[in-house]
Amino acid sequence: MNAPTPSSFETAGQRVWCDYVRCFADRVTTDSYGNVAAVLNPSGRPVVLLDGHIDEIGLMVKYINDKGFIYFQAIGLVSPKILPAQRVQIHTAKGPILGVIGAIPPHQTMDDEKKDLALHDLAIDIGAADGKAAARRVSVGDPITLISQFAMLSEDVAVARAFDDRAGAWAAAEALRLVAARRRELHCCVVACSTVQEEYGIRGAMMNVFNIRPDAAVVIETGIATDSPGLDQSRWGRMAVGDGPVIMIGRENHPALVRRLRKVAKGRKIKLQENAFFFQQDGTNASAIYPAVGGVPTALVSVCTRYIHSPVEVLSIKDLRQTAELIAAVCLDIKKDEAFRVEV
Amino acid sequence: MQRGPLTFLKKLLTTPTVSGHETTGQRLWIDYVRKFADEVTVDSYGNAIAVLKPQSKTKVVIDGHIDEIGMVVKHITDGGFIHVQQVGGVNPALLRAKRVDIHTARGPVRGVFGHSGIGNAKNDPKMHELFIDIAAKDSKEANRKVAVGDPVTLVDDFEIINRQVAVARAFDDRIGAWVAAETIRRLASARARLRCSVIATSSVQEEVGLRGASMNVFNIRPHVFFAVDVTHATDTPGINRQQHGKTAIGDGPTIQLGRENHPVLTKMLRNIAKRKKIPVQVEAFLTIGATNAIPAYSTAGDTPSAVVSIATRYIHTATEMIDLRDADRAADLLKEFCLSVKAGQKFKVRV
Repeated sequence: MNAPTPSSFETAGQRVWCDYVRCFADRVTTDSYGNVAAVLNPSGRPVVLLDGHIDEIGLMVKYINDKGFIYFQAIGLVSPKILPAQRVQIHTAKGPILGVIGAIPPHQTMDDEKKDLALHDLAIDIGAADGKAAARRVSVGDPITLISQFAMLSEDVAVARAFDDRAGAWAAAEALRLVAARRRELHCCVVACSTVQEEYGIRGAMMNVFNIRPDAAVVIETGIATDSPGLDQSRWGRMAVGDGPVIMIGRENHPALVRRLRKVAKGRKIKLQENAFFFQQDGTNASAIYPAVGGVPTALVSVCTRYIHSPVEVLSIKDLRQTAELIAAVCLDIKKDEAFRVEV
Repeated sequence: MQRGPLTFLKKLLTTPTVSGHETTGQRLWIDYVRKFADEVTVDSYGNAIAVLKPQSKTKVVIDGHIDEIGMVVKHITDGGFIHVQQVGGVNPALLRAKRVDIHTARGPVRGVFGHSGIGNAKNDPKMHELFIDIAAKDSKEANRKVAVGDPVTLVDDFEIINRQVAVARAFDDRIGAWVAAETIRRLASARARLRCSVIATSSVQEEVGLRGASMNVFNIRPHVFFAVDVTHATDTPGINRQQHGKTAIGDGPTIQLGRENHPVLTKMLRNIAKRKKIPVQVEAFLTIGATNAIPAYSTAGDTPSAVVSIATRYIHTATEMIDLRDADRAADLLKEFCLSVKAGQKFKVRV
């Protein structure tokens, strides 16, 4: 969780993920954009893809002004509201540099407080004397992350920057590890993917689905928890941190796969939450996978997360662990040459 | 419209087929086309594919999407009221005081969208401000009857309101699925003259991002793809023709031009219409809404595609209105197109 992985700058995280899965996968491959696929039982059928995206939202250096202040653009969906007064790391070719995003003191903002900030109203201060000094340390195109380290809030609840979706990438690896421990019972081929560039428009998954040609896919994502103040459950449905993994119903979520998730969860006494499909059209990698290469039965499993797309994403470790257990159990439950089909 | 096909159409239109929950409609469609197709298959997401003359090399797809817009259960309140989320382009302003069916695992549950004369209801409600009342006495009873994720449709059935003009919920696009089936039904008796393979598809999940057709095009790899869908009729009050062009119900199917609509196909369609005296209308490609021709033309390389449309009033409401003769003529036009295709014919833009 502490590695910087803004979309299209995922290498540091991919290295961590690769080194981990090499301990139990039969084969680990990478593609030209840096997607990583860890394969278990390559000759098994069907081929089941487990997807978690390693990339996180972030910022990128856009422009350095004469005074040495650094303007930036967003990588993925970043709300300008959460940025003022944050510490940041700018990841340069020569290593990370500390900076702060300036905030106008309250004394000067009484009149315009109501104005909504845009990203280009904000700038990073790296303490440079002038533009030249700043340009010596930072280049246009360098990725930026907010500084916020992983910490436990209680015995079960953790906070970090960008659980979205390093938690999913972790769960994909963890499910593979659990399956590897019982591989004698395994009939299918499991391909765990740590996917790049989800936050840019689900691009990495488009590459993976074409290259891997899976017969089924499970996408693991953080899901927007609605159990904190200010969120209307009649609008977003009920999703609570600590109440178990969430399965979604409808659209990309293939009915046969959803039924199987329910059945396996019941057998293993894992409590599930259910919600109608995620309103956003291309909100997760599942939307890239299911209509591709002629239709791939796909299901989304979510880990309820509060304050998504902020440096203080909050989730339950138990939910996350159970998500990996559930998916591993489903992989082990799949019969030889089983096909998932809508019965018409 | 002949009686058999009309009965089939009525059945299709009174069957719930919300995107992602199309199974009952697909079953009807499959049972119907089995009578005359050589091969009928279903893919993993439930797209249905009926083939005539599978041995011919040139493959022509006639596509209509079986799915309709609707809603799904999102949340059940402590009081037993039900909030829903849209599936596709549902306008919340048209929902209050409508009857609905919630399609549960144990069958339909009837409800109404509540609207109280003494509440302070806004004219332009957001979806989550509306709720369905199934007269459950509390959340426990509601949860016993209904589950999160259950699809919901409005209760509005097929009616002929004036000779050939009919009104129904979601002609969009069960009428297209009907035209696809009807085209191969009419071709089946002329199969000796047919030089191409004709593949009718009843595709799923158009209303949630044109997904089913993406699957079909990849799996079938057609040489020609026709999307049969509804188009906005502009022959009612309040529509600016300078902005939206001129289309009317009863004036024949429309042929769309530009963008996804392949010039060789549109030219062939217009020539055939002229020769066979089938009335057609011509319109520029759609700027509001999209059809399955969009994923079709660029999903598996380059697939010559075109849209043939049925002019429809009040699209995406429970009172969509068409002239049934337009659907009949669309099937005729596509039938004649298929019969005109020569063995091994190429459809290329001449450069």
